[in-house]
Amino acid sequence: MNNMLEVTALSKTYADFTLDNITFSLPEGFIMGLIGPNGSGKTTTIKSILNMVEPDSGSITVFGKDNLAQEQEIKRDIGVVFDNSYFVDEWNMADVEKAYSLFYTGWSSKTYWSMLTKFRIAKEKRVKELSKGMQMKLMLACAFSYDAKLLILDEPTSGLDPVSRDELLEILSGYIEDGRHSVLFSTHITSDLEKIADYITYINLGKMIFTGSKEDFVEGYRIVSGDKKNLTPDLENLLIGVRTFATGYEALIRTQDVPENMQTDTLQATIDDIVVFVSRQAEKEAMR
Amino acid sequence: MNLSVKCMKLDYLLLKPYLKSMLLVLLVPLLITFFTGTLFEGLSFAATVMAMTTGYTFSVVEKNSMERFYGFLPAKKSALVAGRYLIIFAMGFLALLITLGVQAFILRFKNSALTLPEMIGTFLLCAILFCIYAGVQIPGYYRFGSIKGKMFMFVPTVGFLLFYYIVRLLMGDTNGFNLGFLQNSALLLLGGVGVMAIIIVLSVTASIQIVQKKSV
Repeated sequence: MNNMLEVTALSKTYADFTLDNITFSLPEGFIMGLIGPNGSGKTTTIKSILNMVEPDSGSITVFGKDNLAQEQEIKRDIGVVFDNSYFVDEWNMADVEKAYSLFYTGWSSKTYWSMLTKFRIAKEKRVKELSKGMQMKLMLACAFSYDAKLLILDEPTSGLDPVSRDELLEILSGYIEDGRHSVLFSTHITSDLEKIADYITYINLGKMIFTGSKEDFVEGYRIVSGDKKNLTPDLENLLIGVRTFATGYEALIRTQDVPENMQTDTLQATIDDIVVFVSRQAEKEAMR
Repeated sequence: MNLSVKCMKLDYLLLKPYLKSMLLVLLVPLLITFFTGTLFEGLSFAATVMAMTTGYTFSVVEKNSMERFYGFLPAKKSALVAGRYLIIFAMGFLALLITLGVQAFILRFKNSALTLPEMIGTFLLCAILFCIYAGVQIPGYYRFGSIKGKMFMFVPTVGFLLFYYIVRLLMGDTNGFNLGFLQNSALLLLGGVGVMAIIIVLSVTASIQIVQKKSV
């Protein structure tokens, strides 16, 4: 299985934030969710891949090529969608095409206009007249018009209504169907990933928590809750992000750590649960 | 197609919505020429006006968060910078040439004497002024952005006033500003082009260094 993207030991330090030793790889033909709370380092990771920030250390290869030495070559096959449009508000759809087609030799005008029709984007409208969902689809239409092999999406669903989000997920599923395309999808709306992601990379406070298949991620944790009196110090040491309330407690636990003589039942954790509890634990530890 | 030319074309697309207003403002230098009957005042004002539009591309980019778009385009940062210079200087020089042509027509209509060397000399001097104004502004905009770097917008105005102050100081009176020293001299012509080239090279080098270090 070829890797479309390989990030190895990526580190970047800012005055108030450090992205520390991030390593993951995305195989061809799959969707990877890059998750973590706001400010966890997702965008810094993406900007490093696109050489928009200079990492302090680490290496990144895209399509097996170094992202610095062969930057232009790589970027010709990458499509990027951000949370907001990056076009001039006054541009119409023809202006968007003019701007893009200058730089992408594989640009297909026919594909572009048919994509606009497929996504129901009014061709005579200006960018500023499009809704947020339509602007996101316009960015996707552009990426599809030069047959980008790797699609990088940075929080594309934030601010979108559920219908638009569902449409995006459907588009992405169709995009990877042929097994030649991959998607790196950064989001903090993890329910989107439950539906379409094959792999998960989870970053919290700049540190790598997990990278691997979505199944391994979800099955690696359980939700445990019970009476406060059952919350022994030994058990508490195994729990992650314990939340206590008047009558009981709730926490995350690694599946491998679940004690055999556990008094209460454990439940399957969702991606959202894992992110919430792990973040809470990390904040607790940071405050110590 | 050369990558810098592609970047220039992209930047032209940014400026397209502003073209009408830029052309309208360029009517002012023509009025100046009509009323003063001299070439230099009008053309130097045109150079100032065009230099004041230098920040337009930067403000469009900033307003529309286009740094990210420029960031993932398959183009070297140096090509993006070169493209920006190409569009700003091409439009500036073109505007000066058109203004000069129309001014010559106005002066001919008013039966004022105008020689070709005087036209060349005036154009050269105003082009140098434009290069200085724009050449100082562009690295400033790259460094601070169009919002934080608003003060660079005043460079052309300050330069325009400073230039007239210096001329007045040296020659006593701007009305009698004699461009004879620029006439009939190939050496001055070459010197003028050389000065422009130096200003542009210095400015481009500074801008590329700023952009290379900058994170988007």
